[in-house]
Amino acid sequence: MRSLYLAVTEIVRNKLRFLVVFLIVALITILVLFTAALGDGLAQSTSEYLDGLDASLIAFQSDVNYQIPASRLGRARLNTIRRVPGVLAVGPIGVSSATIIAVDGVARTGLDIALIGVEPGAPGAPSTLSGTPLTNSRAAEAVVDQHIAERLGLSRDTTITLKVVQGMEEQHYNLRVVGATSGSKINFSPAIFVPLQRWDKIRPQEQVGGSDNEITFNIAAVQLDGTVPLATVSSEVMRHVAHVELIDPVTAYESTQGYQDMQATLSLQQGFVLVIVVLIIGSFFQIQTLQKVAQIGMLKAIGASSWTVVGALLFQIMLTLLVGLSVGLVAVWLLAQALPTGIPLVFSGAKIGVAIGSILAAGPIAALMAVRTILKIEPLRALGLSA
Amino acid sequence: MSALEARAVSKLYRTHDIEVLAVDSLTLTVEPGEFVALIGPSGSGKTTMLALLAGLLLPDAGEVVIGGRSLSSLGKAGLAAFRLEQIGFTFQAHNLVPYLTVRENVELMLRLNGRLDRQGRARAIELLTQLGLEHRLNNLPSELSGGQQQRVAIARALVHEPRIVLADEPTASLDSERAHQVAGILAQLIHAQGRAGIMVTHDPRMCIYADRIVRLEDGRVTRVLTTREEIAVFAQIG
Repeated sequence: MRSLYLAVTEIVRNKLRFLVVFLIVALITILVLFTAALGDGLAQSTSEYLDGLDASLIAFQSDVNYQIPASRLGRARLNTIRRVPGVLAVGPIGVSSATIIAVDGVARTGLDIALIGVEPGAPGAPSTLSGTPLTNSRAAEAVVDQHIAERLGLSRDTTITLKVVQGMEEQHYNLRVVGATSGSKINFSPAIFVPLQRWDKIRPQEQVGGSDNEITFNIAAVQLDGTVPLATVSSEVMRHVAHVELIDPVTAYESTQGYQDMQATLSLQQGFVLVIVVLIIGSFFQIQTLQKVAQIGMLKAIGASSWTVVGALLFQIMLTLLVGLSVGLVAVWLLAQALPTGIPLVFSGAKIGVAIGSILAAGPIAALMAVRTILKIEPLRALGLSA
Repeated sequence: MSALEARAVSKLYRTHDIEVLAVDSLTLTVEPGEFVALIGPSGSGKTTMLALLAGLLLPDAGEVVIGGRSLSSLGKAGLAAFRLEQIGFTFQAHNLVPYLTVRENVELMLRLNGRLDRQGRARAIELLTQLGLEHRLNNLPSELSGGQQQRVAIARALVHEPRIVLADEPTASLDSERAHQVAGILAQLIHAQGRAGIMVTHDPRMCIYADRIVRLEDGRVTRVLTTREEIAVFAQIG
């Protein structure tokens, strides 16, 4: 308690000096939390659709490194997968991109979206928050991500116009909105879902309006019935179906091009910020300790133990971090409320916990140099002598 | 039993090839209620002797015994605990914690040794009142004059009722009037409370308040004055 008393009293009586450090810690907290949120946000933007897929496995064409745009599957393979013991259902998924250029015939600023073709009622088809799900496999209907619906003011029976490039020409296609869904971002774009056969007609391709050949799509969502272990089903599918590889959804989105690099970059950035925390806090308290050498010598001379003084230092560091963190957390919350919804920031409890824990853990590390200095200060200094 | 005994204490400083015998077989006894002035030129060993008496240094030969206990038998932590209980200290400079008020600085001694209770707080205020600082209780050290700061240090040195009070040049940075005031108050409180006090000073005039003057040169006692007449003469002409 002596240490806490000395620590708190010094902070209270030197508010201005400590205020600067509180603010630095608060700014660092904001930076760390936003970096973490950005990491999660970008990850979610890449993976949201795959992560929320109602399937245990995803089938890819083999040897494409699980890259969705490079993978091609057809009906024949889909049917073969469906017959493997343990498989409950298989849903084709085609992924491409398009731009919404008009709503109910009124031109709007182009909004890039992911155009996903699914089989109504099959794995991969979206569940709806409002409206109705896709039912007709050929209809010019769409279920749209709620972010798109909010941004463009879409509601049921609104008509949206998509722009895609087919061959060398720009083509426009109208779709009627039947429902809205959530959690459907893929490759940083919110998605609209259309029936697979419609998707095949309107997706960007060589031929205008699609071809009459067999529909090819990119991947397939595989639902299991739970009677056979997942690994067994996976190996059985790969044994019976040529040129197909199965992976779980997490591995699928982690394999997305750039995903690992992006996450590694953000983690590196967070690491550097934590090093900066250690250096700033360490330097501040080391300078402060050096300024207090005579005072510490006096305290030791009158009988205060080194650990009383070290304890005061550690309390001050932890209090500084706690106050700075609290201010930073409030600022982050306020900023998060003020930011537009489209910004890919996701504040997850676990990530915030890790970030806070890391900043707090940086405190004792930052204290090491000052602790060493304190332990080396001789009480003899109070008498102007040295050992 | 004497409050403090230094028995043939020696301290040798070694730096590279140079050896300096700062204190040479010095013997000193101080009784409770006695105020001793250690005087001598620079380098005579006064401050080293004070450090030995406080257990801040351990002697190379001889021993310091306080309250029947040899300081050499205590470890580093034991010596710190011993100072906290048995020693009251005032220094030439950097006496006070700058972010604590006058009252808090005095109470710090009690807080450090776990004796800050109602009586302790009352004693702190009583001492500060005796020292004429009752109107400065909530001031920070930076708001006080040098003399007032020294008086706060005296209150801190006495508040935990130590056996020994050690004062290192307590009047060095003060003008003549304030120096007399501080030394006089220190002597008066030491006598009144029955502590054993030792003051290191280079100023002969301050010795007028001492019961005994011990003059050191080259680490040895060269002169001891004990009578009021001798002390008065020494304080006048040095």
